[in-house]
Amino acid sequence: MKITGSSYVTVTDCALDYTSGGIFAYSTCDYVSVCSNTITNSYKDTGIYFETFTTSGIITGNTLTNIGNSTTSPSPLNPCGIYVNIPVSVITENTISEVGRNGIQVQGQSGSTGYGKTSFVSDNNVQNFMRGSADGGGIYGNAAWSDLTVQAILYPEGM
Amino acid sequence: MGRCDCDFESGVFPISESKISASDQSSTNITFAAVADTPAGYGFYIENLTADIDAAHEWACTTDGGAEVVTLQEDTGINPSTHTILGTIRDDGIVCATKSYIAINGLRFNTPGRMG
Repeated sequence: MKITGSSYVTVTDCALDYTSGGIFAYSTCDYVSVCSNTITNSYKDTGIYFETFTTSGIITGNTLTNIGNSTTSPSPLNPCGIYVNIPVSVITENTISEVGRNGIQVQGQSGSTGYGKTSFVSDNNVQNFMRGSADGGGIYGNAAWSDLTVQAILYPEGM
Repeated sequence: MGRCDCDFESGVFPISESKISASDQSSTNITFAAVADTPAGYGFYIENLTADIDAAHEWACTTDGGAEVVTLQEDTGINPSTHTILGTIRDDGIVCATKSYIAINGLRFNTPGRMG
Protein backbone atom coordinates (compact mmCIF):
# COMPACT_ATOMS: atom_id res chain seq x y z
CA MET A 1 0.00 0.00 0.00
CA LYS A 2 1.57 3.23 -1.10
CA ILE A 3 0.35 6.60 0.17
CA THR A 4 2.02 9.68 -1.25
CA GLY A 5 1.19 13.34 -1.07
CA SER A 6 -2.03 12.61 0.79
CA SER A 7 -3.49 13.75 4.09
CA TYR A 8 -6.21 12.49 6.40
CA VAL A 9 -5.86 8.88 5.30
CA THR A 10 -6.81 6.00 7.59
CA VAL A 11 -5.93 2.36 7.03
CA THR A 12 -7.70 -0.01 9.38
CA ASP A 13 -8.37 -3.72 9.70
CA CYS A 14 -6.53 -4.67 6.53
CA ALA A 15 -4.45 -7.82 6.07
CA LEU A 16 -1.29 -7.81 3.99
CA ASP A 17 0.49 -11.07 3.33
CA TYR A 18 3.57 -11.92 1.28
CA THR A 19 4.45 -8.40 0.23
CA SER A 20 7.75 -6.80 -0.59
CA GLY A 21 6.91 -4.07 1.91
CA GLY A 22 3.79 -3.27 3.89
CA ILE A 23 2.19 0.16 4.25
CA PHE A 24 4.33 3.05 3.05
CA ALA A 25 3.37 6.72 3.45
CA TYR A 26 5.81 9.34 2.22
CA SER A 27 6.34 12.38 0.00
CA THR A 28 4.51 15.02 1.98
CA CYS A 29 1.73 13.18 3.73
CA ASP A 30 0.02 14.29 6.89
CA TYR A 31 -2.43 12.90 9.43
CA VAL A 32 -2.12 9.32 8.28
CA SER A 33 -3.37 6.66 10.70
CA VAL A 34 -2.54 2.99 10.38
CA CYS A 35 -4.48 1.03 12.96
CA SER A 36 -5.38 -2.60 13.66
CA ASN A 37 -3.86 -4.07 10.53
CA THR A 38 -2.06 -7.37 10.12
CA ILE A 39 1.12 -7.54 8.07
CA THR A 40 2.82 -10.87 7.61
CA ASN A 41 5.71 -11.99 5.46
CA SER A 42 6.84 -8.60 4.28
CA TYR A 43 9.84 -10.31 2.87
CA LYS A 44 12.06 -7.45 1.75
CA ASP A 45 11.12 -4.15 3.24
CA THR A 46 9.66 -2.41 6.26
CA GLY A 47 6.21 -3.29 7.55
CA ILE A 48 4.95 0.26 8.19
CA TYR A 49 6.97 3.19 6.91
CA PHE A 50 6.25 6.91 7.47
CA GLU A 51 8.51 9.57 6.04
CA THR A 52 8.28 13.16 4.87
CA PHE A 53 5.13 14.17 6.66
CA THR A 54 4.13 17.75 7.27
CA THR A 55 3.33 16.99 10.88
CA SER A 56 1.91 13.83 12.36
CA GLY A 57 1.02 10.17 11.98
CA ILE A 58 -0.43 7.46 14.18
CA ILE A 59 0.47 3.76 14.18
CA THR A 60 -1.39 1.71 16.72
CA GLY A 61 -2.70 -1.77 17.33
CA ASN A 62 -1.05 -3.44 14.36
CA THR A 63 0.37 -6.96 14.27
CA LEU A 64 3.52 -7.45 12.22
CA THR A 65 5.16 -10.83 11.77
CA ASN A 66 8.15 -11.91 9.70
CA ILE A 67 9.27 -8.57 8.35
CA GLY A 68 12.31 -7.97 6.19
CA ASN A 69 13.98 -11.29 6.77
CA SER A 70 14.89 -12.14 3.21
CA THR A 71 17.65 -9.59 2.89
CA THR A 72 20.96 -9.52 4.69
CA SER A 73 21.38 -5.84 3.99
CA PRO A 74 22.60 -4.04 7.11
CA SER A 75 21.24 -0.77 5.79
CA PRO A 76 20.73 1.79 8.56
CA LEU A 77 17.11 2.30 7.63
CA ASN A 78 15.65 -1.03 6.65
CA PRO A 79 14.21 -3.45 7.15
CA CYS A 80 12.29 -2.59 10.29
CA GLY A 81 8.92 -3.52 11.65
CA ILE A 82 7.93 0.13 11.92
CA TYR A 83 10.02 3.04 10.71
CA VAL A 84 9.06 6.68 11.18
CA ASN A 85 10.90 9.80 10.18
CA ILE A 86 8.28 12.48 10.67
CA PRO A 87 7.87 15.43 13.04
CA VAL A 88 5.25 13.95 15.36
CA SER A 89 4.36 10.28 15.75
CA VAL A 90 2.35 8.10 18.08
CA ILE A 91 3.30 4.42 18.00
CA THR A 92 1.38 2.34 20.50
CA GLU A 93 0.17 -1.19 21.19
CA ASN A 94 1.73 -2.82 18.19
CA THR A 95 2.88 -6.43 18.25
CA ILE A 96 6.00 -7.01 16.20
CA SER A 97 7.96 -10.23 15.83
CA GLU A 98 10.56 -11.84 13.57
CA VAL A 99 12.18 -8.73 12.13
CA GLY A 100 15.34 -8.45 10.07
CA ARG A 101 16.49 -5.35 11.87
CA ASN A 102 14.82 -2.93 14.28
CA GLY A 103 11.40 -3.63 15.68
CA ILE A 104 10.58 0.09 15.76
CA GLN A 105 12.86 2.82 14.51
CA VAL A 106 12.22 6.47 15.25
CA GLN A 107 14.51 8.37 13.00
CA GLY A 108 15.45 11.90 13.95
CA GLN A 109 17.11 13.86 11.26
CA SER A 110 19.58 16.42 12.42
CA GLY A 111 19.19 20.01 11.34
CA SER A 112 16.09 22.10 11.07
CA THR A 113 13.55 19.53 9.97
CA GLY A 114 12.70 18.40 13.49
CA TYR A 115 11.76 14.96 12.25
CA GLY A 116 11.31 12.41 14.95
CA LYS A 117 11.74 14.90 17.72
CA THR A 118 8.28 14.57 19.14
CA SER A 119 7.35 10.94 19.29
CA PHE A 120 5.43 8.78 21.72
CA VAL A 121 6.23 5.09 21.68
CA SER A 122 4.29 3.08 24.22
CA ASP A 123 3.10 -0.43 25.03
CA ASN A 124 4.49 -2.16 22.01
CA ASN A 125 5.42 -5.82 22.12
CA VAL A 126 8.61 -6.50 20.17
CA GLN A 127 10.10 -9.97 19.87
CA ASN A 128 12.86 -11.59 17.84
CA PHE A 129 14.33 -8.61 16.12
CA MET A 130 17.80 -8.03 14.64
CA ARG A 131 17.64 -11.33 12.79
CA GLY A 132 19.67 -10.10 9.83
CA SER A 133 21.65 -7.14 11.12
CA ALA A 134 24.17 -6.38 13.81
CA ASP A 135 23.45 -2.75 14.66
CA GLY A 136 20.06 -1.74 15.97
CA GLY A 137 17.51 -2.70 18.56
CA GLY A 138 13.97 -3.60 19.46
CA ILE A 139 13.07 0.08 19.75
CA TYR A 140 15.75 2.13 18.12
CA GLY A 141 16.23 5.87 18.03
CA ASN A 142 18.65 7.53 15.72
CA ALA A 143 19.63 11.16 16.51
CA ALA A 144 18.56 13.53 19.27
CA TRP A 145 15.00 14.32 20.27
CA SER A 146 13.53 17.17 22.20
CA ASP A 147 10.45 15.26 23.26
CA LEU A 148 10.64 11.51 22.79
CA THR A 149 8.79 9.21 25.13
CA VAL A 150 9.35 5.47 25.09
CA GLN A 151 7.39 3.12 27.28
CA ALA A 152 7.85 -0.38 26.05
CA ILE A 153 7.01 -3.96 26.66
CA LEU A 154 10.09 -5.50 25.16
CA TYR A 155 11.27 -9.06 24.91
CA PRO A 156 14.87 -8.87 23.71
CA GLU A 157 14.99 -12.39 22.39
CA GLY A 158 16.48 -11.21 19.15
CA MET A 159 19.70 -10.02 20.70
CA MET B 1 25.68 -15.42 -15.96
CA GLY B 2 22.24 -14.86 -17.40
CA ARG B 3 20.67 -11.58 -18.27
CA CYS B 4 22.68 -8.51 -17.43
CA ASP B 5 19.87 -6.06 -16.90
CA CYS B 6 18.76 -7.15 -13.47
CA ASP B 7 18.21 -4.60 -10.76
CA PHE B 8 20.36 -3.90 -7.78
CA GLU B 9 18.46 -2.63 -4.82
CA SER B 10 19.90 -1.31 -1.61
CA GLY B 11 17.04 -2.31 0.66
CA VAL B 12 16.45 1.35 1.48
CA PHE B 13 13.13 2.84 0.46
CA PRO B 14 12.64 4.65 -1.86
CA ILE B 15 14.48 1.90 -3.64
CA SER B 16 17.88 2.69 -5.04
CA GLU B 17 18.82 0.58 -7.97
CA SER B 18 21.43 0.26 -10.64
CA LYS B 19 21.50 -1.75 -13.84
CA ILE B 20 24.36 -4.12 -14.48
CA SER B 21 26.32 -2.71 -17.39
CA ALA B 22 28.67 -5.65 -17.96
CA SER B 23 29.33 -9.14 -16.68
CA ASP B 24 32.00 -11.78 -17.10
CA GLN B 25 30.93 -15.36 -16.59
CA SER B 26 34.45 -16.74 -16.25
CA SER B 27 35.49 -14.35 -13.51
CA THR B 28 31.95 -13.90 -12.14
CA ASN B 29 32.61 -10.18 -12.10
CA ILE B 30 29.78 -7.74 -12.66
CA THR B 31 29.93 -4.02 -13.30
CA PHE B 32 27.32 -1.48 -12.34
CA ALA B 33 27.05 2.19 -11.46
CA ALA B 34 27.22 3.24 -7.82
CA VAL B 35 23.93 2.86 -5.99
CA ALA B 36 22.65 6.12 -4.57
CA ASP B 37 22.28 6.44 -0.80
CA THR B 38 24.15 3.24 -0.13
CA PRO B 39 27.25 3.96 1.94
CA ALA B 40 30.41 1.96 1.40
CA GLY B 41 30.30 -1.34 3.21
CA TYR B 42 26.55 -1.68 3.14
CA GLY B 43 24.85 -4.53 1.41
CA PHE B 44 22.75 -5.19 -1.62
CA TYR B 45 21.07 -8.06 -3.27
CA ILE B 46 20.36 -9.16 -6.78
CA GLU B 47 16.95 -9.82 -8.24
CA ASN B 48 15.67 -11.43 -11.36
CA LEU B 49 18.79 -13.24 -12.44
CA THR B 50 17.96 -16.61 -13.93
CA ALA B 51 21.46 -17.95 -13.34
CA ASP B 52 21.11 -17.37 -9.61
CA ILE B 53 18.06 -19.58 -9.23
CA ASP B 54 19.30 -22.43 -7.06
CA ALA B 55 16.54 -23.19 -4.60
CA ALA B 56 12.90 -24.17 -4.64
CA HIS B 57 10.44 -21.30 -5.15
CA GLU B 58 13.04 -18.93 -6.55
CA TRP B 59 12.06 -17.43 -9.85
CA ALA B 60 12.90 -14.78 -12.42
CA CYS B 61 10.95 -13.01 -15.14
CA THR B 62 12.97 -12.31 -18.25
CA THR B 63 12.32 -11.65 -21.89
CA ASP B 64 13.07 -13.93 -24.80
CA GLY B 65 12.48 -12.59 -28.27
CA GLY B 66 10.02 -10.06 -26.93
CA ALA B 67 8.06 -12.56 -24.90
CA GLU B 68 8.12 -12.51 -21.11
CA VAL B 69 9.30 -15.78 -19.64
CA VAL B 70 9.00 -16.87 -16.04
CA THR B 71 11.63 -19.32 -14.83
CA LEU B 72 10.69 -21.09 -11.61
CA GLN B 73 12.44 -23.80 -9.63
CA GLU B 74 9.92 -26.14 -8.11
CA ASP B 75 10.22 -28.45 -5.16
CA THR B 76 11.91 -31.70 -6.03
CA GLY B 77 9.59 -34.02 -7.89
CA ILE B 78 6.91 -31.42 -8.54
CA ASN B 79 5.70 -30.99 -12.09
CA PRO B 80 4.66 -27.36 -12.70
CA SER B 81 1.99 -28.49 -15.10
CA THR B 82 0.14 -30.17 -12.23
CA HIS B 83 -0.85 -26.97 -10.47
CA THR B 84 -1.59 -23.31 -11.06
CA ILE B 85 1.12 -20.70 -10.80
CA LEU B 86 -0.14 -17.20 -10.04
CA GLY B 87 1.77 -14.06 -10.94
CA THR B 88 1.33 -10.45 -9.88
CA ILE B 89 0.74 -7.88 -12.59
CA ARG B 90 0.58 -4.78 -10.37
CA ASP B 91 3.33 -3.41 -8.18
CA ASP B 92 1.17 -2.17 -5.32
CA GLY B 93 -2.13 -3.29 -3.87
CA ILE B 94 -3.38 0.26 -3.39
CA VAL B 95 -1.78 3.52 -4.44
CA CYS B 96 -3.20 6.60 -2.77
CA ALA B 97 -1.44 9.51 -4.45
CA THR B 98 -2.42 13.12 -3.74
CA LYS B 99 -5.83 12.02 -2.51
CA SER B 100 -6.95 13.15 0.91
CA TYR B 101 -9.73 12.17 3.29
CA ILE B 102 -9.49 8.51 2.33
CA ALA B 103 -10.50 5.55 4.50
CA ILE B 104 -9.20 2.09 3.64
CA ASN B 105 -10.84 -0.54 5.76
CA GLY B 106 -11.06 -4.30 5.89
CA LEU B 107 -9.21 -5.25 2.72
CA ARG B 108 -6.89 -8.20 2.23
CA PHE B 109 -3.80 -8.03 0.04
CA ASN B 110 -1.90 -11.14 -0.88
CA THR B 111 1.36 -11.33 -2.83
CA PRO B 112 1.42 -7.93 -4.50
CA GLY B 113 4.51 -7.17 -6.51
CA ARG B 114 5.78 -4.60 -4.06
CA MET B 115 3.74 -2.90 -1.35
CA GLY B 116 0.49 -4.21 0.00
